[in-house]
Amino acid sequence: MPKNQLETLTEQMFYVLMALKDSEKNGVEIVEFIRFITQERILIGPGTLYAMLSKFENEDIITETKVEGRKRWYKISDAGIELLQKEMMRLKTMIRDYEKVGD
Amino acid sequence: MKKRVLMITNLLETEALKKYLDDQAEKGWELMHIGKYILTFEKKEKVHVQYAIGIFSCGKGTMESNNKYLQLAQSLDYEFVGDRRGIVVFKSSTDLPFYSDEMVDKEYFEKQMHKNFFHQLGLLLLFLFMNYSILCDLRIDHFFSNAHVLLGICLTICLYEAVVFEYGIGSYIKYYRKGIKKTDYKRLEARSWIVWMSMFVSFVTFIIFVLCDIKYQNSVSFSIILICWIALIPLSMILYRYRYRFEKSIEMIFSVIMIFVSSIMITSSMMNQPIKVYRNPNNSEKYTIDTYDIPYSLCHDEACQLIENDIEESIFMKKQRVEEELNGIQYICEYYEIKYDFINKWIMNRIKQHYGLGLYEVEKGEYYYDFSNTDYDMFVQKNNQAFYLFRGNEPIDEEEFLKIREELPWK
Repeated sequence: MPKNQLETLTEQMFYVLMALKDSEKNGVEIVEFIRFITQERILIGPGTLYAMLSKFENEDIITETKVEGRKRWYKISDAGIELLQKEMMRLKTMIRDYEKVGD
Repeated sequence: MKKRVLMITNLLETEALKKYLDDQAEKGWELMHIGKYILTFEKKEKVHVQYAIGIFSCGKGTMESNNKYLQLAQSLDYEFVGDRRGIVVFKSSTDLPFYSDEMVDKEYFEKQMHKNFFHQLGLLLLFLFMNYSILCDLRIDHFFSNAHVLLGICLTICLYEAVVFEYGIGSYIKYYRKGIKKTDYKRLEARSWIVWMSMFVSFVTFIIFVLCDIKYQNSVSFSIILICWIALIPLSMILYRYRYRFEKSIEMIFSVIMIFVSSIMITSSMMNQPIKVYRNPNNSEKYTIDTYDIPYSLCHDEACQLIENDIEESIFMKKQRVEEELNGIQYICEYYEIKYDFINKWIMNRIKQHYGLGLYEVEKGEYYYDFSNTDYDMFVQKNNQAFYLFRGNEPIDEEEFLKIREELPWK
C-alpha cells in the first residue's frame, strides 16, 4: 500500500521534528524540549507523541537508533530535514504575506 | 473493600469510560484492575489520579508496537493499569495531558478503530459458524450427550458477542454520520444490565432445556427455547428504555435485528436437522451411515420410530425383490435350460452382497467369455438374449467363480 506523504505539519508535529533536528532524543527528552522551548505553551501527551512517532517512522521521516530499558531514541532522516525546511519556508512565506498587507 | 463492575466498552466509548473512572475516583473508588469485561475497584479515603484511555494497535507487529506504546507512556509518568480489546487504561498524577493534538489523534484513532472493527466482525462470524456447525452435526444418539453443554455455551457466547458487536456497529455508524463519540457512561451501565440479563436468560433457558429434555423430551424443550430466544428481543428493548431513556435509536434497531437473525439462524438449522444413524448389525468394524431428515420438533422416541420404520420398510422391499428375482430366475432357467437348483443356491448366497439379475440384449453371434472386462459375473446366452448376474460391491472370489463357470450347464 502506498504511504500517505505528509503535506503539511501540525504545530506539534513541527515541534517534534524541531526537537530532533540537532540531536537524537528519546520521548521524555522530546516532551521536555518542547515544554522548555515553548515555555509550556505546548504540552505533548504520550498518546499523541506515540501516534506522531509511529507515523513519522512509517514514512521514514525519523528512525529509531537505540533502545535502553523503556527509552527509545530517534533521529531525524534527510527526508525529515527536508520536510521541516519546507514547512519553515511555508511559515515564513505566510509571515511575509501578512507583513505585505500590514497591520 | 472491593467492588467489581461488569462493563463492556468499544473504542468509541473511551471518553465515557474515562468519565466513569474519574467519577468513581471522586467517590473514592480507585481502579485496581481492568479485565476483559470486569473492572475491579478498591475503596480508598482519597484518590488523586487522572485516568487516560489509550488505544492499542491491532494486526501486524502488534506486540512490538504495544510495548512501545506502554514504554513511552510509562516513561512520561503514566502508570499502566490494564488493557482490554484494544483499550489501555493509564493513571497519572502529572499535569501532562495524554492527548494534545486533535488532528493527529483523530487520524490514529480512526486507523485503529477500523482494525478493531473487522477483528470483532471476524470473531462474531466465527462464533456463528461454530454454532451452525455444531447444530448441523448433532446426531440422534447424541440427544442426551455433552453436545448440549457445548451448544448452550456456544449460544451464550454468540448472544454475548452479538450484544457487544451490535452496540459497536451502532456507535460506528453514529460516529461516521455525526462524528459523535460517546461521553455518557449511563449507556455503559445500561449495557451491563443487558448482558447480565441476557446471560441469566440464556442460563435459565439452558437449564430448562436440559430439564425438559429429560422430562418431556425435546419436542417441548424446543418450543421453550424458541420462546426464550424470542422473549429476549422485547426484554432487551424494555430494559434499554427503562435503564437508559433514549429515543428510537439505531443501536436498538440493530440490537433487535442481530438477536432476531441469530435466533432465525439457530432455529432454522434446528428445523432442517439431518440426523446421521450409525448402524452396525453384524458388529463388524465397518459401520454403515444413513442420513435421515428428521424434523427437530419430533421427540426422541418418535424420531427413533421413524427411522426404525424406514429400516423395516427397506428390509421388506429387499426381501420382496429377492422373491421376485427368484421367481424370475426359475422362469429364465427353465427357458434357458439351466440347472435351476444350482443357480438358486448361488443367488441366495450372493444376494446379500447386492447381486442382481437381468436380461441383456446382444447382437446375433456375439458371445462374452471374458467377464473381467465387463460389469457382469456371468452370462448365459441364447439367440440374441443373455441372462446375466451383475457384479456387486464385493470383490469376486475367482476360485468360486471359475468353479461356477465349470458347472454352468451351457459349457
